[in-house]
Amino acid sequence: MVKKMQGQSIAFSPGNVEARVRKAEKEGRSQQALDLAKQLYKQEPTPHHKDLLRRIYLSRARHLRQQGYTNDASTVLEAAVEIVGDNNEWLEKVVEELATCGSVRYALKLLDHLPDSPKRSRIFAVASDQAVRQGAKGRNLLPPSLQGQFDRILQAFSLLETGDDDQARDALQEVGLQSPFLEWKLMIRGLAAYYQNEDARALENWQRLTADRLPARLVAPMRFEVDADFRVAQDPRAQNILQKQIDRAQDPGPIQSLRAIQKALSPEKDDLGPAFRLAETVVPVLWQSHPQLIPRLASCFYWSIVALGKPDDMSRYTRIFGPPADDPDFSRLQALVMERVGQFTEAHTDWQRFESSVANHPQFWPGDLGTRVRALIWSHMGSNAAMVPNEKKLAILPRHLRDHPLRPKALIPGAEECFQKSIELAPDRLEPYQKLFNFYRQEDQTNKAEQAARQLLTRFPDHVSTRESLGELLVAKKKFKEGVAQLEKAHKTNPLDRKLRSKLSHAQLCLARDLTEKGDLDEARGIFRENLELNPSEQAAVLCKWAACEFIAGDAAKAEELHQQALAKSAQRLPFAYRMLIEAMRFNLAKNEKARFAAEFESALADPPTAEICTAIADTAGAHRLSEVKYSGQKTHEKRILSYLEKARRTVAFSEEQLQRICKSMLELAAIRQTRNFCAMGHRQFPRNPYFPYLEAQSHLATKRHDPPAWKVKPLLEIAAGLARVLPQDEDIKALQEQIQEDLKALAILNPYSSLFQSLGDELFGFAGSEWEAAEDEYEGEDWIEEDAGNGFFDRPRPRKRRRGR
Amino acid sequence: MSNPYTVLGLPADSEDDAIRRRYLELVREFSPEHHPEKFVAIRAAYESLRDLDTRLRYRVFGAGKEETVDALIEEIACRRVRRRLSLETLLSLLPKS
Repeated sequence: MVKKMQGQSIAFSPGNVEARVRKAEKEGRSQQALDLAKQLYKQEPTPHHKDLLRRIYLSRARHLRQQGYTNDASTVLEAAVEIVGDNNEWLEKVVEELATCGSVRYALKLLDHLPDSPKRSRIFAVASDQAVRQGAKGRNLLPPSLQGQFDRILQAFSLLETGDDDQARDALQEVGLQSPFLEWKLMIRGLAAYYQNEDARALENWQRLTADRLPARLVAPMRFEVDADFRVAQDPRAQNILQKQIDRAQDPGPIQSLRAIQKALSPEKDDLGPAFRLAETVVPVLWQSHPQLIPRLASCFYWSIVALGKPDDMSRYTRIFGPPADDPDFSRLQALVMERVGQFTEAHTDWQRFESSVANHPQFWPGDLGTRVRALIWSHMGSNAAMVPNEKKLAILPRHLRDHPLRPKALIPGAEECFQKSIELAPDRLEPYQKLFNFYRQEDQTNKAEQAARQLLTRFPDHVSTRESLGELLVAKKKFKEGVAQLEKAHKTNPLDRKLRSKLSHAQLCLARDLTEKGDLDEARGIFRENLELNPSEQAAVLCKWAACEFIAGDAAKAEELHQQALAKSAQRLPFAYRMLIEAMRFNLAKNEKARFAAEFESALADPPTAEICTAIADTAGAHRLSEVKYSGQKTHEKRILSYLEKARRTVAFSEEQLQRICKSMLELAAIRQTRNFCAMGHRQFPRNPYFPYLEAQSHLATKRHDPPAWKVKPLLEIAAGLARVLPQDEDIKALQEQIQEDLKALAILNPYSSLFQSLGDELFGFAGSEWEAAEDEYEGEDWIEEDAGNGFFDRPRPRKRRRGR
Repeated sequence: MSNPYTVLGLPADSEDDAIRRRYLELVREFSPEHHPEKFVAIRAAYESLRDLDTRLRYRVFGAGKEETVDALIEEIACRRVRRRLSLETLLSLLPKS
């Protein structure tokens, strides 16, 4: 066949026509696809083209049905059966489609030719749906065997409508588990429960319905009303349709107005006026129908005012709902609003007003309640007051925060007074005691903190954490004996707490040292013995200390014995020698002993470094620094250790864990350059470990905690966060992630160039972008490249020092 | 979080003993293995009412904060007398296409 098109002749090509069929089908031109497929089959009646024509017939019928032309769809399928109906598999699909289109009788007639079809039950189900859809007329569409059940379903519907639920249930008894009407039975039983407001039972039935069957579609609006999960699972368009359907089916009453209020109270709105206007109309209706809901609606408005209200809203609230019984003059509401916007001075005044209001309304807070509530308010005010930095802390803040116009000012009355007042009102409440103790500790008022802790423990002797804190505080105040006593009591209550055990061990060693220095050697020995039992993993360190004690006592034999025991328990010579040297210096032993241990230390340093020795010596030095150990010659010794480690860095192969420990110890020793060098090495060798970038960030923060170079620290913290995110989430990684987030938050507040502060600055001071940039340029001029610190580390561009004046 | 008294099914003036008793009952009924979400809600509700101090703290700083208009709508919908619908009415609710 030759066809003329645009002056050219095109030969008929089956491949070309088939492609056009597929294209037309894909584009939804089902009639054109069908015409082409028919033409193709007519020209070349191959099995392949016949299959294609079958598929297109079916596709055209579905298309027509979806457009609502069910009769036309049936006609298309009937024609198709005549022409190409010699394939049972296809015929099953046609029968199902015919039943869906309402041609139930013809569909069932065709089904008789498919006695073994696995789709028979599905087709009967579709047929029964269509029959019920057509009402009483539908009965004749079904085979006689199903007509009885069909009648029962219609009867049950009628009974249900007239309120005869029990009879409706009885009518459904005949419908068995294999029946195509089973879904109708479930639906009707669910409806009976729904009409009796037994929603859980209704859902039990409805949740078993098949989504594409008619019963499920019919009860969908009712299910949407009572099933929150089903409601959420629908897309917004379906939600809208179902909402309209249920509003048509059931009288919405005040629900529509409440829905409008819900929209008007949404957090995106900045004016509650429309919501109050709506409430004015709905509240009288609710008084009639659901008076119990009015206080709950009032609560919604109360908290919306707290979240986004304006002063006018309080009078609007009072006009509609009356004054809140527990906050008649809105002082609590105002306090909460002021807290939300960060105006703590005003919040403090409002809380005091609320406290007076509670005291003046005993009818609302009867008996002891009023006093306890007042205590609670004072405690809350104390917490607010404690948050404001004192003069000492202000002094170390960067200027942009110190001089910030919105910086919170000291609250009056202050935290101490507020907590005391709270204790006075309700002395049996633990919370204000704890807060007061923590406040004093935070303010470094150690004497008062000690007094507060003792006051707490007198009333709550079993409060272990305070006892533990008091023990630590006493040790820090060099009241070692009392500190140990407190920690021992705490340890007896909680013997499995490893941290507490380590604190007790530290306190005991401090006490033993103190006793040794005071010449009370027998008691010191007793404590060393106790400590060896308490802390078996640190016996070498304890034996070193004890040996030093015996040197002082002049018992050289015992000292040597202990010295040898310590050496035997030490895996490495260098950390042992260093520990002995520290003890010799701290106890100020005789010159010859000091010289002996110094020589031992030097000799150990001359040993070729190994990864194990390096890790152990770094741990030892770091641990002493962490415990704030100070002695003459410390700097020299630490320098020697650092250069030993630096030498090892270039020659020794470390494991990941060893490098991580060394980096941490370097940081504790405040060896910034070495920390960065080890971190760079760690990251190069173990690029998936988040601790290396994190510890490098810490090295920057360690030097400038209150004025950190954000452009260096932030990227490192972000890399660490990214690496930590993909690791298995164990306790350590979770703790690391929390720490990173805290650092990032602190950085945003402390850094004047962070986007957070920049936007605040723009708003508050009207700074132009160029001014910020100029300031940043100035910072960039600083020399921050450390020698050998991470060349090519993280492959990020690193600013170089600008040479000015050239 | 919903109103803790509603979650535990208790009146607002319940005392420590009644709250604890009811909490234990509910925990037995809704074990964490079989009803994890419900268990979490019960636990959270109990935590905010467990003693007089926490109850007062809830009353002073948070009572009604969890209330939503959505919950009111649901309550009205659940309690209203429902209109009984005929099969024809139900069918007429279906979208046309």
